[in-house]
Amino acid sequence: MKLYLTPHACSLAVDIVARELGIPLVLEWVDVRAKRLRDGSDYYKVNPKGQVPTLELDDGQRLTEGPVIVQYLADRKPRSPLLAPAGTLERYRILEWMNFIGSELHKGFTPLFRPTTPAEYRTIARQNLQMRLQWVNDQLAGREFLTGPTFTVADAYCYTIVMWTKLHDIDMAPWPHLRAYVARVASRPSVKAAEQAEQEAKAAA
Amino acid sequence: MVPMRLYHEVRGCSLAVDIVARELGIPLDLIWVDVPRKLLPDGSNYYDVNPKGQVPALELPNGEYLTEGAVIMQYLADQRPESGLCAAAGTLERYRIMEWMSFIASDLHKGGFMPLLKKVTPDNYRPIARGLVVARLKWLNDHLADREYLTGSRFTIADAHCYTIVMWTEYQGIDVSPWPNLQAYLKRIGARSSVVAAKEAERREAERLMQVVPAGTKSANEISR
Repeated sequence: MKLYLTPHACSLAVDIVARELGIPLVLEWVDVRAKRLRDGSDYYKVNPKGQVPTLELDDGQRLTEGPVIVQYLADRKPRSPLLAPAGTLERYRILEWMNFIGSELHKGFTPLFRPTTPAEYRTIARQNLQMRLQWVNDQLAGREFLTGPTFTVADAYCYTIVMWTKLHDIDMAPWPHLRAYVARVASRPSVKAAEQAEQEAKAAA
Repeated sequence: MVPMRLYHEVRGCSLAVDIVARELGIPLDLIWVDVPRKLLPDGSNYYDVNPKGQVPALELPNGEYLTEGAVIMQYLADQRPESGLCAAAGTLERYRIMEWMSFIASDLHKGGFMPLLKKVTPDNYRPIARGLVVARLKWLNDHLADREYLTGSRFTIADAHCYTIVMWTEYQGIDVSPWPNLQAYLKRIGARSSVVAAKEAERREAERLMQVVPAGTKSANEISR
């Protein structure tokens, strides 16, 4: 399968999940600002929304939305601890986290990435994010990962988005549980390999 | 069986959950939350139900609470797999429905309408936020050109979700007439008996609020959601 991705985008979570599962993916790097692939072709033809990630399935169909792609991948390996079986409360709890991360955290960062966002709103967006990060920090007190002792797809997503604090100089000092969590996730071989692939893609660009 | 409790709010995205429950014939006990003050009708603290302070939340039969509308809708539909309101787990149709739910929750609700609904949003950001909403509504309109519902000819939980959020155009004075496919879609869904009943419940609660709260002192959902 082929994954369309961009360095420092939420597509990193999908690459991490695929590596955790041992599912090989062809990585196709996208210039998401210019909406171009490396060969110059139009990315809107791949994903009409113009966003990454997109996963091209073996039959050529394409699936979008990171939180959905990671479920699709994890469901290929039903015995993996990355995602609980469909219909269980554990599964809904993981989805609950992913929905929170996708709507509150991820979309909370989006205005900071847009050059057109005025300074007054940047301040508000940062305050909202700090409030959410504080909440995640509190949830992680006494917990190794978001839903308990097991690393799941929600952690791959959460880690990816929380790392954007670096890009926007948001100081993590007030959140010790979150800091320890980020360090814990970063030490996983899947995460190191996915981040290394991003570095190489940036160097080659 | 005792009905599950849905923590709900007038003009909240929790409307989508009520629509889904009515489509499925699952009775819910509607508990109206004062979201700005985080208070329940009996005066107790809503943070005890949902530490995030948002609606919807669903109290499950085991006493636990499930949050995030997009997830609650899946949970409810999974209780009635024969309804067809959401495709079976593991099918491509299911991922397609979830794809829409993710887009609606992130790009349309939080990344779209949210800043417009908040009083604190500065005037110089409002046109930008509005532009994002308009671009996405136009995209939805194009998608609906040859489809009755988001994923084809069948109404699913994604449509309940989409309808609920797109109807916020009314509160924001965004005219949907430039998008005839979207307009027809809203009309089609608005005519469903589940939607009529869910909106009627909302209207009755809004009316009750008008009577207990003097005009101008409080608006049920202006502060945060």
